[in-house]
Amino acid sequence: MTLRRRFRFWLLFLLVFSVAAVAIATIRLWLLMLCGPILVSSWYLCEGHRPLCLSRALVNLGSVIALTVVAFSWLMEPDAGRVMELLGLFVLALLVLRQFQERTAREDAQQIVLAAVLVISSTIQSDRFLFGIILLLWVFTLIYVVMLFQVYAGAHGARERRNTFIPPGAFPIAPLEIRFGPRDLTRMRLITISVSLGILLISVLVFVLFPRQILFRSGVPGNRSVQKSGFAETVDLIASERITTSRREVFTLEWIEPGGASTKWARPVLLRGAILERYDSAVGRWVASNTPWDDRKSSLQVVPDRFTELGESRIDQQIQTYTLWFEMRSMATDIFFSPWVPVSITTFDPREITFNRSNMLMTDSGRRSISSYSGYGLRVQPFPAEAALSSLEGGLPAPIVTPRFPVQAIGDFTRNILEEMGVDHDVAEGETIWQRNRRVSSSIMDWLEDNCLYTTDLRDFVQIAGEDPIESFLTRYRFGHCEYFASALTAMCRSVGIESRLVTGYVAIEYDEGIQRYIVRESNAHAWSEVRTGPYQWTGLDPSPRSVLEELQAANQSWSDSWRWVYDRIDFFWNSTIVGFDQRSQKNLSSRFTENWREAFSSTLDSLSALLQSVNRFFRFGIAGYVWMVAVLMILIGFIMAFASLHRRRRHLMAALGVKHQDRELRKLLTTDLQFWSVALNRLARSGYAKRRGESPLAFSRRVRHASLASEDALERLVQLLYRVRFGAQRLNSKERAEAVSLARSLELSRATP
Amino acid sequence: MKLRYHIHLSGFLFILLTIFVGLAAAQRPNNLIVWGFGVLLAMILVSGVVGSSMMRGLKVRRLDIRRASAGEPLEIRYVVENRSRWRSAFAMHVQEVDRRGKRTSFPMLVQPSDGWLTRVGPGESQICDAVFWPSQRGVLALQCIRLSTQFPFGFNDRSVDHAHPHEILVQPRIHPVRGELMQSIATGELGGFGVSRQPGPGEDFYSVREFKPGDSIRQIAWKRSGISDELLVIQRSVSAPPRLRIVLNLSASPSSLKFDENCGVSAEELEERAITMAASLAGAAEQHGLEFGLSVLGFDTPSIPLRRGYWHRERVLTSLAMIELDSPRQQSEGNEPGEEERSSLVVVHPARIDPRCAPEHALHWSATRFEQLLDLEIGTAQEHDESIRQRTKEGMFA
Repeated sequence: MTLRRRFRFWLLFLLVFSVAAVAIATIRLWLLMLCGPILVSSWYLCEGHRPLCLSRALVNLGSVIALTVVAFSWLMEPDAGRVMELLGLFVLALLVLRQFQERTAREDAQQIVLAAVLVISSTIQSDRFLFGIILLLWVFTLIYVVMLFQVYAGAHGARERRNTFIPPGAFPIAPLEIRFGPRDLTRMRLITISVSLGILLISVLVFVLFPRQILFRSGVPGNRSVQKSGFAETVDLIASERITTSRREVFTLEWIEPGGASTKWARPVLLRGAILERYDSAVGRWVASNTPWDDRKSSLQVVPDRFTELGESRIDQQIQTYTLWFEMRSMATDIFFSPWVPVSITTFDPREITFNRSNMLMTDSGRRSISSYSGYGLRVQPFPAEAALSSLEGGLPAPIVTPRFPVQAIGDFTRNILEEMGVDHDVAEGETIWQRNRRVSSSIMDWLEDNCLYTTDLRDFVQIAGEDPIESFLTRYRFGHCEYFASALTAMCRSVGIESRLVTGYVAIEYDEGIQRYIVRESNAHAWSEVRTGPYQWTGLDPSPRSVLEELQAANQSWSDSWRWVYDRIDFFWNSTIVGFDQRSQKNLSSRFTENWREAFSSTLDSLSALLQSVNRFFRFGIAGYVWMVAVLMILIGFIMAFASLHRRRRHLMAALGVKHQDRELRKLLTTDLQFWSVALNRLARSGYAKRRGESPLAFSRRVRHASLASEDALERLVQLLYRVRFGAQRLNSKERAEAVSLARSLELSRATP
Repeated sequence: MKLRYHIHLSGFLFILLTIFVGLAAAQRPNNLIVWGFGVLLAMILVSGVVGSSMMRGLKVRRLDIRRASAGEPLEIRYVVENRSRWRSAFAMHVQEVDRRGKRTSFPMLVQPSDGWLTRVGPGESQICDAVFWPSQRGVLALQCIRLSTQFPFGFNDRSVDHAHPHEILVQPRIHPVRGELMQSIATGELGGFGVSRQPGPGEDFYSVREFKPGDSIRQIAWKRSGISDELLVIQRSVSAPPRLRIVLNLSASPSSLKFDENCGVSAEELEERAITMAASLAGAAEQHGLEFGLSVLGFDTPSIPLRRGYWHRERVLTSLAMIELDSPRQQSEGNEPGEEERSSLVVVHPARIDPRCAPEHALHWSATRFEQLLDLEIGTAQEHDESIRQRTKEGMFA
């Protein structure tokens, strides 16, 4: 394969990689299915002996059409967030079109630049694991392609320049010969590998040392797209689009009965992750509360293999206490998901956690390792006694308030509904407020289950300007997913004075009988409501129809689910190590590195000190023994330095005499007898007469004599002696050797002119 | 030898891209962009390290240059030696530069091509060549050889200049003399075949001499040997070819030359043309087997006697190449063609013919009739150089 053809082949490879990167980043696999074969076909159409290329005019026309389409698309939906996506699409079209035209070396370089722009625009849009792998491969391919391009373009340019010198009818000039054989290719590949490794190493260093603390104000690395299909700490009802049903395993959950047997809980297990109590009707968003009462936090040190109590006083864990083991598969987060109500916790490695007593949520507040936690265990009481709740909440119940919901229309609507159902929303005689809350909220939940349709496709859910999305859900559309159901229940409860809040997390619904564990996937991300049913008690109410949830779960299952854990493991590593690498990880790594280094240094010092002590004890020298050891060490170092210097001189002499390949005895003899030549060479080199490589001693001495005016005789005698020893088999005794060395030292030369 | 870095446009663009990605990484907390930024930074660093380490241990020297002639390609061969044990050097350019490191400081050269080497392996020596095109005769002083590379990523150019001063004598351009003109010169009254005064492999008897070992026995003059007591051999005379004495009349300074100033040619150019005509005459004479010699009037250049052959032509061309037109003109004594030399005589004048400087039978050529007397197959030197310059401007070097 010629150099040009090889370069073009790898360029095509790079372009296909670029398209794959775009397809994965934008989750449009059709792009790869469409553009990939088109690009490959360009190899057969345009790179053969009879290329069928498009004319430049056609390519330019195509480019203009692509630009027009992209511009029109943006004008139809002007959104700054789409700029990179549209730019990527335009560059992709340009790239594919230009691949079908006849290209010069400069245009090949432009193709590389376009591919780079394409991939950079994709990088801004995605941080998925598969995209990361493609990006890594793309970078390695790019390095190879650019190196090939340098050689190809340089050779091409040199040949062009030479051809310019051949006017018609002039003297013929041999064309430039470009050789690029198998050895060149091997060397090129070797240098590519070493350069790639160097770049990888430096880039990882930059990645680790990048000043995230200063630059990332939000503090959370990672793209939102990762969290979009899973758990979210806010609920945004305005974004009405079809939610994805990702089958990625987030974690597994083992539910163990008090007797110790793994079992499936009778109902779907609601795993709480965030409590959202504030609703902003202007933007249709639920966010966490920030009142001081809701922020009563305790810090706990958790160690492995021992459950740490969460309550302020001891909770009886013999009654209705279940043990849950969570094993993370593909999630890096600092939230410990738990069902109502956790009483104790343990983790797979020592951690510091924060327990929020107002809502019983747990987060990791300590130094988290890079890969986040790998698992934890919980003991929960689904039906807790009031004493247990009191202990968990710090013995002080939250004040009772009568909530109001900011959207008036929802209050009217709820009252109408309850009236139609014959449910009185006021506290009846002989009824406590908690009983009223339970009664009315159950009625509302039943109404929602019966009258609203559960769907994940919200493309028809058009937001009406000036109308609250919950109001639209209840009065206009009556279809939506769990966030709408939960929001509606919460809003309706509040509008009739019932304390309620929105909860987000996961619902464990898929139970694997083989491993006796729940498999929790991203598609199991869920939202539900909690209604206050006691001074300390909150009851979880899930208005989403359970049957529909189970149907969706079954419909989404596929044969690949049983193998997904392989991919998910790697994906988890990617998300936790690469995507989730943040300031805390940086700090942790830094402190760990420092600690390890200190430990290694101190342990080395300790072991050295122990060794010295044991040696001292063995010889029974006492305190003076250390002085002796230092002296011996100094002598040893001196000896090593002298040996190294001698060895260096010997090598230098062998190189100067050209006896490297002689047998060992001869080499030893010559290097002993010809010490004077090494001295002479050094002295002459200092005077500015360095012996050239390949120059014979005689030629060297002639050159020196020609240039210098002094010490001619001494040098001549030394050279004669050298030849007699080297080629005349003459051996010198110690006296002669010493004389020769002193003669060499006596060489006095005028300095050579540069 | 100092390693130099030259960043060009692509390098600047790459640095801008790196800054852009760095800003994007700072603005958007996406770790892949951070890593991409790291890759771009690493590429800049690795490019500098690999490129500069590749240049270490490289030596370059010129191979001997045999001859150079104006208007002909001059191929200079270089030996690039890589003394490194492990590193290969890729994509090496070899250029001629002056001491200041500038490429275009040779007034005698149009833009030269570069030497190119795809790879020089560790411990290997590779030979490459660069083609130059001397546009005029004279001494071409080469000073430094530049080894440069853009490998591996083309962001910047790393170069090392190796000082190797060398002078090349560029001989004048030779154009074919129109055939009929050369015939008229060669068959002139004073030329033509004759008997030479020296022995050689001819037909006519010249003399006899004593036998020497190595002489053929066929050449022994048996009768004469019989008379004397020693062996004698016959010597025969060689046939003498026609003779031509070329006289280049540069005795008048350019300012005193008389010519039509509207012809678009300067006085200096006319003198150069006269030298080219003399060289072309010498070339044609050598081609036709004539004995030829050269006399230059106006300079203290020794007259070259009549000889023939390739090396004699080289001698004549070298003499013409060494004429320095800027030096003051002298009244040459002894260089004027004499009556006693039996040869045709052509006097080449830069401008108007001055018949007083040569005997009556001499032919006089004027450089103003350059195109009529010489067969300019590929156009004039200027036209050719212009054509190359034009092609250079059109981007064929890009």
